[in-house]
Amino acid sequence: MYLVIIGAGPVGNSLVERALEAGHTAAVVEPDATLAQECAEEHDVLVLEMAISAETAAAESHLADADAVIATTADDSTNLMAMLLAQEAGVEKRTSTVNQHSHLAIFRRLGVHILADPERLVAEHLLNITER
Amino acid sequence: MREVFRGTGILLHVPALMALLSLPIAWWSDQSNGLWPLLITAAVAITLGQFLLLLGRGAQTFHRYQSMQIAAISWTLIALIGALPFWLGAQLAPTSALFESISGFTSTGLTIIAAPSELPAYLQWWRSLTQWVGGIGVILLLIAVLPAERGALNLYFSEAREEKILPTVKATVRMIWLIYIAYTVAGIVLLWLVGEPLWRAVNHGMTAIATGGFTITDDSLFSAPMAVQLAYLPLMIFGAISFLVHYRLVVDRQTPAKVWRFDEVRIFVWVLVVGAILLIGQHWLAGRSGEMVSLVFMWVSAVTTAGFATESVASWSDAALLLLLVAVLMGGMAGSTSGGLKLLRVGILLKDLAGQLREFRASAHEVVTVRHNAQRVSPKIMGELGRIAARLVGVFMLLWLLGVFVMLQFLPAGTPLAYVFFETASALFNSGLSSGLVGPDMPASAVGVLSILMLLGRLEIFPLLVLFAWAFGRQVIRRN
Repeated sequence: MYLVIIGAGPVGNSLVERALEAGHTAAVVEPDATLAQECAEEHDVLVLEMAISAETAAAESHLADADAVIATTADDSTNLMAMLLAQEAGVEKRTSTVNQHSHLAIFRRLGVHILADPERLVAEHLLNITER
Repeated sequence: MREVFRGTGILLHVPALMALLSLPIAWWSDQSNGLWPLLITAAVAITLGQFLLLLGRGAQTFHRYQSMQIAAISWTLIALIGALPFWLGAQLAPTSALFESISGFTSTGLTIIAAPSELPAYLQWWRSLTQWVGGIGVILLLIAVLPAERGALNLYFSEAREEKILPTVKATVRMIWLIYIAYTVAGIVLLWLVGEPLWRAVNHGMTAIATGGFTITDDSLFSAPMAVQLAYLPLMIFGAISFLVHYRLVVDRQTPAKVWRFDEVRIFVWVLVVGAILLIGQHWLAGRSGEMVSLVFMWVSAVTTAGFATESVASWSDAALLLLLVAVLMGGMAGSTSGGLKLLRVGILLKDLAGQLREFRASAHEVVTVRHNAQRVSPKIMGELGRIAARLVGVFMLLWLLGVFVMLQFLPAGTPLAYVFFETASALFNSGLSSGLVGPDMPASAVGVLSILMLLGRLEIFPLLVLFAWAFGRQVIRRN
């Protein structure tokens, strides 16, 4: 599969690593110069140093050819923009993290696969392990 | 200044030690006739060394440019002292004796002696010993002094950061000495097993691992049987592999796969294989019947800058000569005993070029990286390394042209220009392959020019330039 991943933070980087291990190809869109550089030096992927909202982002990341778009940033508006662009480009699998609980409904209405509130998920998981 | 006196003074004890250790051989070969040239040599070296130590009392720690000055001055002085046995023992003209000594200590291998087999055995030994010591000397020179591409080289030391490397240098140096000695002994045994007489095996084993190329025969290895020629190949190749790679393999027990990550190692293998095929192909295209083994030998001898020869290049086509010249220019790996520009720089320049091309092709916001020693590096960093490498390559090329120009003034009219280029490169890049110009009949002035070029090439030019800068304008350095 060809994945377009938004954000090269900890989540995005782990995702790239796993995706490459699983034999997929990927592009990463990250506006922060340092994060983008680190990601490019770490992984054998196409890294674009730009915001997803930039005019040529869809074209440069070959969004229309993507099998899936995954938004991993801590900023819901960025994630939302990515999901909208993906929908416009006709990408079937659209997945996003949602950081604010109150935003869940908006993302649901767009037909996006959701990983709600990753930090809270981690916390719950930790609690589960402890209580076991 | 004291620091320079002190460092040089210490290093001058090296030729003294060499001469004293050679005394038993002189006694065995020539009785008292062989003893006194070596004793005088040792006496001169010790006196001068002690005098410099006296001048250098109270020296502080060395700075980078001081260690470069020490390298340049002591290499020159050691070569001067090393010429004494040839001058006193074989009554060579002073310029010829100096040439032979410089060719030895720079492990070049050009020789002005028509019949090395007729030299007394202790002088044959002295020639080989100068190359052997020069070979290890240049490895240590690179590790300890030369600034060129330190960043790129540090990769060989460890994956640790730079500050962690320095304390380990001393231990590294000791291990590299041991590896060098072990390879030399193994090489001598190998040559002896394939049928070289013991004395020849000892001498040639030493000059092969030093990628020097002095032989005690009159015709290099022209008349060596095929099996013997093949036995020299691994010795020259081992000598041209960075001793930091040897260190990684032998001491750190790293797998060859891990060493294969280094660009320079891969380039070395590629150059050896592809170049040998090209050379054979060229001979085949030109319709010349060259011995395959001999051609491979010549190619390996050129790339490793050993300079042993199994045939005369005088009968080769110009195209084949040019191929060989490219090998001489590139040379072996940095941190080995070989000369040339070093494949490290060739690799850096190629990667720099690849980075540039990739940037042309990339989309506007793409973060471009280049693979360098199994790491992804930004083209900017590659460019900085490339600039340092290109600067040195440029200086080398200019010096080569200048050398050819000066040589042309001294050589008889009608000397083929290709040969002048080849011979000058052979000296400057410390190869030792000869198109036949260097010999007893060469004008003394041309001999002097080649001697200077050999020294410049071995020290990778900059230490000597620092020396000139110091001599002609003190401020140039003080300002830094």
